[in-house]
Amino acid sequence: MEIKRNRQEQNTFLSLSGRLDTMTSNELASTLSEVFEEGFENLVFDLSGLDYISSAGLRVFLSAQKKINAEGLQMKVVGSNESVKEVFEVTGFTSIIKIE
Amino acid sequence: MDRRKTKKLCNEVYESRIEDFDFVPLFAAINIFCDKHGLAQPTAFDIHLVVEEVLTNIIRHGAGKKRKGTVRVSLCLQDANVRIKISDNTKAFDPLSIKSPDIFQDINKRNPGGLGIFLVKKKSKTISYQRLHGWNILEIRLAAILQKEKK
Repeated sequence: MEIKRNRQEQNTFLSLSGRLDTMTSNELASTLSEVFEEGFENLVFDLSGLDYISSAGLRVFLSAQKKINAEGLQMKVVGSNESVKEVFEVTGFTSIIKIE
Repeated sequence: MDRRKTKKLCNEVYESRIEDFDFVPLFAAINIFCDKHGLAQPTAFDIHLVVEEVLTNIIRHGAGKKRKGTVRVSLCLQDANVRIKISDNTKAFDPLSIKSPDIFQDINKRNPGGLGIFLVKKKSKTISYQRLHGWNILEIRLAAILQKEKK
């Protein structure tokens, strides 16, 4: 998995590509820890390059959304392919995370 | 032959001692199977998902700290279905007994437990578990979409 990170105004953008699974989810968790350590901002995940997600990836998104909520900030996920979107839908994540 | 190495029996069957288990060659074997049979990307996605979630569960909960035991994965294309058979000789455990998460729960009450097997159940047309001669055997049937059928 590749994670590209950039900031624009009060938003941090994370573009993920490849696979977010049990082998790679820690990379995203670590990146998010760094982002949060530097100060909380709104978060935008661009998943247009993401081919695959499993429950290991969902755990990271759930944890991030809880932290973002606690800070009163916004988080959203954009660009998911159909298979990735289906994983968010069947697990009910579409009702707890803003997925466009 | 070094018996500690992960062994690929054929494109459709995969076997490894748990202490040597590695997802990389397993996912590679799944990709070879999908390419060989011309399975469409969403079907390949589902096979990866089911196998990852079940194996993660076996390694995390079944194998224990000493990671003793063996896992086997076989894939067959039959009619319009992919049949996935995942066997392990760790302690007897029926993953279908794991309580499904309440997906309508408020985010603050949600925890990630049980999501993996819940996803497996959601993706499966049929799923069955049996304990036979010291092996946990999980058989899952998924809808198979071929590349030429894909819209």
